[in-house]
Amino acid sequence: MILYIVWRLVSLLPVVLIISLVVFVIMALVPGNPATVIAGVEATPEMLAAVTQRLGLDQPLPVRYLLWLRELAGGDLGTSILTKQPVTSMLLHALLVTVELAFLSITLAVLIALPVGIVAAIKRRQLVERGLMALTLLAISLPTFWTGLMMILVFAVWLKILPASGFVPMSESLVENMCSMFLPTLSLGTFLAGPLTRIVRSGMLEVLGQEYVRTARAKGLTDWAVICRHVVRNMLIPVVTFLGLQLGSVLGGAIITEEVFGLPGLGRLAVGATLNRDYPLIQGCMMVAALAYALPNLLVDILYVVLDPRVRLVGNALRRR
Amino acid sequence: MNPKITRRDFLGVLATAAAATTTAAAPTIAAPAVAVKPSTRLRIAIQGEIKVLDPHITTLEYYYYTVKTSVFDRLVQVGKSAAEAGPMLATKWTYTDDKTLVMDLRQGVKFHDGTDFTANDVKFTIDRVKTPQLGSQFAAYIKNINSVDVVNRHRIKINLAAPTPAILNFLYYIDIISEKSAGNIAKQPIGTGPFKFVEWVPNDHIRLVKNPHYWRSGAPTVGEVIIRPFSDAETRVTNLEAGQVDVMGGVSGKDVQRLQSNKNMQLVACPPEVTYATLQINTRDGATKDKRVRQAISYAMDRKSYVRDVLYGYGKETSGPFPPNHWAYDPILDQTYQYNLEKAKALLSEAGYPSGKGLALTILTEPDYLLVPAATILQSSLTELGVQVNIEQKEAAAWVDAANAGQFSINMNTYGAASLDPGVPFGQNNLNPATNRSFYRDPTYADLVNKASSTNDQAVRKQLYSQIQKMLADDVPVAVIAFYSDIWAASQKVKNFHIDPMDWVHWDQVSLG
Repeated sequence: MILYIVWRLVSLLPVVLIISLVVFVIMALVPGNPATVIAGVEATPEMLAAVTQRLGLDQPLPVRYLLWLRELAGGDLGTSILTKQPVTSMLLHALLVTVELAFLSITLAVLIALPVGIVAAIKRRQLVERGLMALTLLAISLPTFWTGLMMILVFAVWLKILPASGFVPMSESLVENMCSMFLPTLSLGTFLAGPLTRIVRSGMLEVLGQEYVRTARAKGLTDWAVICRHVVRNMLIPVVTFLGLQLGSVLGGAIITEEVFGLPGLGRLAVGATLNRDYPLIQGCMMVAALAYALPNLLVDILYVVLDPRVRLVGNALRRR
Repeated sequence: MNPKITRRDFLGVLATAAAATTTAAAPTIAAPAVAVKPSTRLRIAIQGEIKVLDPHITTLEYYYYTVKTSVFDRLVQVGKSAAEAGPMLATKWTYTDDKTLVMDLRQGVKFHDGTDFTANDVKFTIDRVKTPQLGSQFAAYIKNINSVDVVNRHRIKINLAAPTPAILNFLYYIDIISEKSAGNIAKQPIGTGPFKFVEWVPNDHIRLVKNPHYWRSGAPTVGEVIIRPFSDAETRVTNLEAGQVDVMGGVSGKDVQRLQSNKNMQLVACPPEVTYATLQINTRDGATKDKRVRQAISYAMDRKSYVRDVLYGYGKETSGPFPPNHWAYDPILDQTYQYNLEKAKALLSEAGYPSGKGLALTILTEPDYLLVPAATILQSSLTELGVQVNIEQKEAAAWVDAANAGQFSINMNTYGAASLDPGVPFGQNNLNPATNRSFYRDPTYADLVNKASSTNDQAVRKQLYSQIQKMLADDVPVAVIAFYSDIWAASQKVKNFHIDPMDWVHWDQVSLG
């Protein structure tokens, strides 16, 4: 198992490097560069040339990439061209926000989706199911920027019980941190809960129709015991797959939620870096976004082993017996 | 190897990972601890992020509201009117001849790092801005300064290449820094201004604290300023209504009524004679090389609708770069280019495009909430004339590249400084004879502009600017659309909030009631 994890982690290295190369080349092909951003609208071609040279952007592309790789080898992601702050510390600062938002909103989504999806499956074709499914449709259909603004309107403007925006790090005040994360979590969590509930419900329905469930019932187990012991565990596979992908996308940056609630997370950092053509910062953000997909998916693969006794490690890969 | 892991193992690993994440995330960019009473904290929401901290490299934009007027001082500032300079770090000045300006500097002023402010800092600053390798956009503003002599610790002599009536206005833009802090200025801006820079956390906030040793007694009255960027207008308004911020910038016309009806709010707007939106028409390439096409475009711009429907009345339509109360204003442009589709149609026919047939134009713009609607209004009039119009929206970095390459028929832009000495607007890329974005390089125009900006006799200058405006009316390299006001909103507890005639905001004058 440990060998497998190490192997998977090592095999991430070329993936990340290829992504960095692709991002580097694409950014070089996109019109505009940091010199045009820094020199601004009023820049003359001479000024642009001066700024380009000062930033070292006049060097050939392969040289710039190799220089960046050399820094990376030393464990340094470089310095932001615009803010002059180390990319590593900017990423860390943004990750602090994003990881917390991802963790809280996915937890909330699971807490909503599991009971609602299970109840909807059990009460199939009843009024309860129809009502719950309508609610999930609503959660999927309402965009987060709208629900976010409405939540701010209700909780911050009218009731004045929660802050409208901003982020307070946990290290400063746990209570204020929780207050500042409450609305973003609610907004993103309910949005994620929509599709998740549907997956839980359909997973449940599929498993409920299996013969072993009938057998379990025939053994005289109560409904509750059948569902908890036999059904839920088996329907978790698609749920975990879905969560792995969602975790990746939220960690990569929940841009809209971050924008509405003024959270300094990874999404806004990446968008700002791209608009400013801040190459080292873009590279850093993309590395993190790539890992944000790869690592949760590794976690998902390991979870398969835990959840489904038929999935076992063979050699260096997962096999389904 | 037994590949099986139990749930217990797994939960253990998960718990360890969670703990590791929390510990790893704990060190944040540490801000120096500053004890400030929350009641003296001024919180401001603005439309976007600054780009860089170096005052000589900045593209301005949000820099005005954040670092420029707070952290730095300049030699002179706006006086009784926009064009009339008042003292700041220079207390008085005299011309010993029309090319030599002697300035006495304020004594006892210190930079935030404790260094004394002296004549050497002024010389260093001007030399730095002029250094070609720095690539400062302000270098063009002070290109007429040949050299700065340090007469003594508190007196300088500025030697000009030619008489430059706009020089004091140009100096409004030059923030004074010290030689000692220059090396680190892109990370830690140090000036002599009313606030000290504490930190900039991108996408989150800029924090400034009161400079207790500021030379202007009694200022600033607030202890701390926190400026936060929110690009979404709706988010800014809700944050103001929720009391999360005290002041917001970039109030769009549609939110004016909502904020006016809230008795806890006040609206503050600059008089509409500073900033203007303009069309820059390509005189070098394509169909717009023909001045009749350019004239037709200016006739087809429905400026009244723009002011009414997009600016919600917070502006004034114009076809020229001077506000009517400016001494250099000539009504020729305004009188000529009233909205007239018949004339536009006739001009297009004359140019070989009867009913607009065969004419395709590209309007290039940034995704700006004031420029895109202007482009749409123009597009609808031109389409009515049978012209095929394509609007290309590009974000800033790509837009500058496309504009430089001349990949447009019409480029949309905004400029400030209309009420200053005409030397300033004619030094910017809209009207500058050498660098304007319309590629209008007429030698007569260049000659007139250069003459007008290098003579001190206002009567002569007025005549020259009239000639220039006649040329602009005939050749139409630019078609100005309207002057507009930047609108700010603040809660009623914010006192003394006003915008100066340059459209700049000074947080040191604001107090919290």
